Amino acid sequence: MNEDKKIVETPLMKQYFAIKGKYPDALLLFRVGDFYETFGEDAITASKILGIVLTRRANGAAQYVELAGFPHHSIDTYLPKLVRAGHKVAICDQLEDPKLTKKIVKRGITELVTPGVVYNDQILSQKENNYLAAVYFQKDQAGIAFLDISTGSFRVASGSLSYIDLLLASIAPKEILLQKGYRKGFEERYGKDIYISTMDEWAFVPDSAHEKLQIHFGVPTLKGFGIENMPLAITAAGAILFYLELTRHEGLGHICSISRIDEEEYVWIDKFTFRNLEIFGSYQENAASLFSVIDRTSSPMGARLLRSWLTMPIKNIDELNLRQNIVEFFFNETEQREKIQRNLKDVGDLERIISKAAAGRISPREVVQLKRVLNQIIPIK
Amino acid sequence: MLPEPASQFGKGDVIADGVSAELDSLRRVARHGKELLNEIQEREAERTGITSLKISYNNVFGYYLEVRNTHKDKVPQDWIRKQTLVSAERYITQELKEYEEKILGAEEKILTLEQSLFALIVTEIQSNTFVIQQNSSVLARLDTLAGFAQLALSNKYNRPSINIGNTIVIKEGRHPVIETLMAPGEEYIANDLYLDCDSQQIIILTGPNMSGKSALLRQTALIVLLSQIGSFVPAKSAEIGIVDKIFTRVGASDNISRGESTFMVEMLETATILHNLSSRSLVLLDEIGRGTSTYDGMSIAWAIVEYLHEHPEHRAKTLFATHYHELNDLEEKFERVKNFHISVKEVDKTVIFLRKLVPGGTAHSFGIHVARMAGMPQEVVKRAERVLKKLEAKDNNSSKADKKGRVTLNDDAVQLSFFQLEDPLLISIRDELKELDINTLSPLDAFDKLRSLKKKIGL
Repeated sequence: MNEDKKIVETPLMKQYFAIKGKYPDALLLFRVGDFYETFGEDAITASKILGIVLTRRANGAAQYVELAGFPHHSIDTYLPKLVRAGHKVAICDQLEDPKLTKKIVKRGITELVTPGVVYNDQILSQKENNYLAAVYFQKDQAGIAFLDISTGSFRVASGSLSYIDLLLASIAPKEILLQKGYRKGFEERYGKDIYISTMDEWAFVPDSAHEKLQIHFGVPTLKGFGIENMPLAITAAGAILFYLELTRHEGLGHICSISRIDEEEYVWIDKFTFRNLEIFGSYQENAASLFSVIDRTSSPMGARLLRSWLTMPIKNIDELNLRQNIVEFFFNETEQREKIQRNLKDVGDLERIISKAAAGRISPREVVQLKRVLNQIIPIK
Repeated sequence: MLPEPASQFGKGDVIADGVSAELDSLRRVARHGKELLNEIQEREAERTGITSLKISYNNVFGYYLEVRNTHKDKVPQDWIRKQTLVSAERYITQELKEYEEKILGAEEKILTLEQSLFALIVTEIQSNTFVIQQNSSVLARLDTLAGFAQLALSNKYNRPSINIGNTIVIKEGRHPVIETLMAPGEEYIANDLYLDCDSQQIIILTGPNMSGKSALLRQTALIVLLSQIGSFVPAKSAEIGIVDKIFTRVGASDNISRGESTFMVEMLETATILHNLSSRSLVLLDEIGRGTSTYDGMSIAWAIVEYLHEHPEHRAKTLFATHYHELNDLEEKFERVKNFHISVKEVDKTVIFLRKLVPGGTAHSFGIHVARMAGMPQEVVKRAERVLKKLEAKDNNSSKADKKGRVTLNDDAVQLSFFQLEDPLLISIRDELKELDINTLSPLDAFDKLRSLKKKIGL
């Protein structure tokens, strides 16, 4: 902030700067009447990304501040664009009815949207999970936790740094949570492609993480999930829960379980190999990928499962034979297969809808869709 | 809930009729409000004789009576004037306002009621979250597996057999992506492939560029990958001994934007592979050594093959596609290294790619033929052929005399590397020795340690 801002600001701007001060690294959408406004640097950024007009607003005597805004009901159009451009967005709403107060309306942050914590269908890709990862380093080992808040998938692992490398390459999270001070080291090792958020020390304390998880799942011990003896992983998972709290994401009832990614179960495929084999895409823009050739799924959930199987093939012969048996069954019974596929198509993205319901973000239309879908499941059984 | 609810609360109905008595009666008030207003309108019109009387609504005044100026004088005393327009006047009455409050009040109450009924529904849904999630996992699984079946039918895949052995046997294998890109009438040429840890561990694949070497490498990895996710595979049959790591180093990748040269990248990737081998690894190397001078590149490639063959703990199955036909000499020296090439036929002055995998190395790289086919000027091609003949003659003469000499050089080279501390094995031995505290070591412990160290080196 330069000297100019010290001159008397309007009460509105005072309120704005107070809130902005708490979330300096987020783009702040400030609700003013029927509009969401951005100011200063945020306005310049927003106007560029969203293609909206950049203007100015008076801020006290002879001072101006940049301004760009859009109508509040268009937020579903504009918010995804900002997040997809890699920004953290803080949404600040009016907390009381302006007609009821004589002074300036109370305002507060109602949500912090980040690339790794997304429910919004406009931002998500159907055929991919959208993971937030947290990494807790301790010398040459690390614990890592992955959460896709749109599906409730919560997984952890711990091990050597090269194992962590592999997991990051396979799972490809959209946002990484680190302890403050680790940002630079991480960027040096992995580049700047993934969005990084940091939190203070207190979010990465093993004991409080352990407790946090126990409280969240409502269990006396984490043994049931098979992660009791993984302190590094537990710490990373705890950090994720603290982060969700910080960004005001309550309604986490759909995060019902947590599981361990066992190094021994999967085939090691490093990130060079993924690209070299063109599993999801290649160096050339238009080359067909393996995924595009083999994807015959009828629902987004199936597509996401296929992607996750491709990134982590297994070594367990019994499980592979089981899968192959089912494939063989469908191979021979075309009619049954086609019937099920038709039903699956109607099911749509059950996984994401139920997560929205649990988070209290479901719309009436979606509830009706859910009802329809649940009816579809009966014939499949 | 209604089968087609409004997209947002307040923009239409969400909850169906007959669900809540309170909601139904409020709705009656809101809906019939219109009728009531009409009644008021008719009544007032009759009472005052203003036949063109209208009742309208706006956000500023709410409901009001609108009267044309011509009838202004017929307006009764109890009407309150609210707004004057050019051609009309607007009034409200006590009665009108009372009804307005009822209606609007009803609408507000409806909104709140709908929202709380909806919240109840959502809570009910929430209590079933876990079960629904389980259902959706099962559905996802069914979906993926049914998809595999469809894929197998349409692309003619077969079921692979997976075992805990260490052998990979593929009969008539094809590349899953490339085979879908063939021109109509063209068929992808299938190939058999065999790799194990005892007799044919490392295949050196030579052949001209564009002959299909890279495709063969990739299809091997992809067939293993597909079989280890539970799918059928593009081959007549496949027996896959479980693989635990798949490494590929293919072509010239470009991390130029990060400031690393192609060769550096190649070396980085290859180094990772060599440091992380396991007994069930599958390693695919395509044109290693390309980004540097010929002798450097060839030497590095040679040393890598030796390393893979001689590794005391892990015999990684390897496919090594290369343009260095000097590497064919490795077959003589190392028993589990075998040469193969992709067959190509020379007809007159053109080259036909047969794309079949055939045992044995190739002497020629057909590079000049490719240049000719690419339309290089005749003089250039002819001159290249003459230069090639000269170089090959020189090579043949020296090679006979040198062969013995070369063999010893190789032995020395192997000896030398044993003492170089870049070897991961030696580094681990050194580390173990470092950890030992001789002062507290008992003779028996020392003995055990020696035994385990000997085992480590393979003695």
